Amino acid sequence: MTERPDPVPTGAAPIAWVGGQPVGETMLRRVNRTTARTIVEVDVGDLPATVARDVELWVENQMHAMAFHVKLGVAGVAGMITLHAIARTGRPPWRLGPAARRKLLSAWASSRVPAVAQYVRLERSLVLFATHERLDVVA
Amino acid sequence: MTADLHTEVLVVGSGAGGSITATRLAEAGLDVTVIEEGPWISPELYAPFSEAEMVTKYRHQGVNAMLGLPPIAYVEGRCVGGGTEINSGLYHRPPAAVLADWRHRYAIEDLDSDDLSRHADLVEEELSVSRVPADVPMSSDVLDRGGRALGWKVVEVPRLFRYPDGDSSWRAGVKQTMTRSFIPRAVEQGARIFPDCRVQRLVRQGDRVLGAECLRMTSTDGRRESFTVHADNVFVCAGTIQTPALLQRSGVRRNIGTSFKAHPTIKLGARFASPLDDQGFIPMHQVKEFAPDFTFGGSVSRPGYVALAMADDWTANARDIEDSERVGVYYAAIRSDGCGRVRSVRGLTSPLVSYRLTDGDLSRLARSLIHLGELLFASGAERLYPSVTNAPAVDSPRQLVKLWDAVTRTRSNLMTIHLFSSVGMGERREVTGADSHGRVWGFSNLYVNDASLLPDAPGVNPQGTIMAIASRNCERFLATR
Repeated sequence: MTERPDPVPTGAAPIAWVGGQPVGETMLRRVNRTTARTIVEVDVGDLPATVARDVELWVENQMHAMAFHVKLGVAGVAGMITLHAIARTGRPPWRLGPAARRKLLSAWASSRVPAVAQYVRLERSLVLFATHERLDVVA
Repeated sequence: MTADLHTEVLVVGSGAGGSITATRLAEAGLDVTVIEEGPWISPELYAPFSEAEMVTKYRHQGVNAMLGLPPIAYVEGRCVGGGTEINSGLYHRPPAAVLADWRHRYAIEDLDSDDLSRHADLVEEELSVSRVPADVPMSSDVLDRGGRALGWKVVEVPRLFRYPDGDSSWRAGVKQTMTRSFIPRAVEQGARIFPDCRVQRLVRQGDRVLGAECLRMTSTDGRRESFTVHADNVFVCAGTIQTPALLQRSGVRRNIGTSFKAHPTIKLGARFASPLDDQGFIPMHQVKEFAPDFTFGGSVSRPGYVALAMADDWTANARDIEDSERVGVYYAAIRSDGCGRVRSVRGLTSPLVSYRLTDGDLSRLARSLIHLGELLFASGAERLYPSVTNAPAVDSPRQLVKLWDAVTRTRSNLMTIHLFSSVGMGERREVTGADSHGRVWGFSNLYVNDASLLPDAPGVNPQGTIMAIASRNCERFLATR
């Protein structure tokens, strides 16, 4: 069966198909999205609400599409930073206001634990990439 | 429901190696079936290097990394046509000195430079490999100008681009991806292509592979069906990471995935006085003054990529993003002494990939970054943005020396798109996974024919070498079957 190109793209494969099995899915998605939101607020600033939401969602989906073992590492970091947030403020990151999240983000970005700093760098890279690709289209 | 089927030749993967294999063998009259894990997407559908292309054509939507210190980001094509659908289309002939070295070190039979040149000639004609007929883009001229100012060796690298009649500008060129070139030829000769279909494992009996168990996605919500392809001969061409992963999960492990190579790459954004105006295109010039240790080239410089280049000290660089049309992204790619491993682990769909950089590699990366900075300043850059965590922008050549201490295991942010050598060919059975023509040791009808076979880093874009070797191995297969 040879299937020639279809004018309608097949689109991205479902996560399970490419090896992105769920890892503590709800919590991981929540932490990833909260981090993305904080980076948007801190690093990008004034962004139309729809664009900001779209960027956050895109970053969340990109993080979710990673290979299982990479996601496992990210889940470990997400657990660490959630505990860190609770220890510092009594609440998980997604229950905090912008000012508290910004403070935590800054601490994580300069963490001595390489995996934590790399996590923030990865999310920041994805946020900045997605934001500026979108702003270019809007422009 | 897809029924089980029989084929003379099963090709797993449809990138540069797989497409050439399928075409050569189909045109020789063999019954060929190609299984490709990714979707079949028209190359016209998405802008090159766009977000949509990343999501649909890249494995893991473009977010992947080799484990190690530092981790190295990498990408793989996952679509019909494989990496040729998403790469720059730059083409280097296999360097004669590299071939001589490989022939000697890995005891590769018949790896003759003249013979391989014959295959390279053929491939180049088939893919319209050529230099840009008219002026090159400004982002490419930056490398040429800087290199000439310093008296360094600069080359315009040919590309597999075809130019429509009467329009020889670089903007008009159409990349000859596999879906535009070899795959239609294979289909015309009767080859069957199954996109969205993953080979779970190869079915073995003694020294023969009987076929492959496949899983085919039948809708975008993930429904799948399984079927078996019975084959007289199997060519695994799934790329440097997926080829060893498939072999390993099929129980073939000897010298498979144990020492793959890459060209680790470090980036440098450069801001100029005036806009570059061609940021969606990859420069075709490269600086070869320090080859094979390291090479300089240019990347795509769309706004998202410029933001990425500035991300490592974003607090300080953020205001410069407003001038993104004046910023180009450049890179230094090194030939590495280090090596990596691909490990297929039961229960995981994706293999574990790790890479160990040597201290020598780190020195080369630091040296290459400093020389790349010199080159860009010589070309008129006003400010440079190194991809090193918290490294401030560099405003003059005198400040470049600071980068020497900044390039460390914890601060360097590296990536690569050149991966190879995960199986390795040659008669030295103690270090290679396949013989001199890609037949996997211990099997009479199982072959590898993609980037995995290159026994070491070529020091140049590997696409031309992969294609020429794939063509050579097909000729040998047809002559000896």
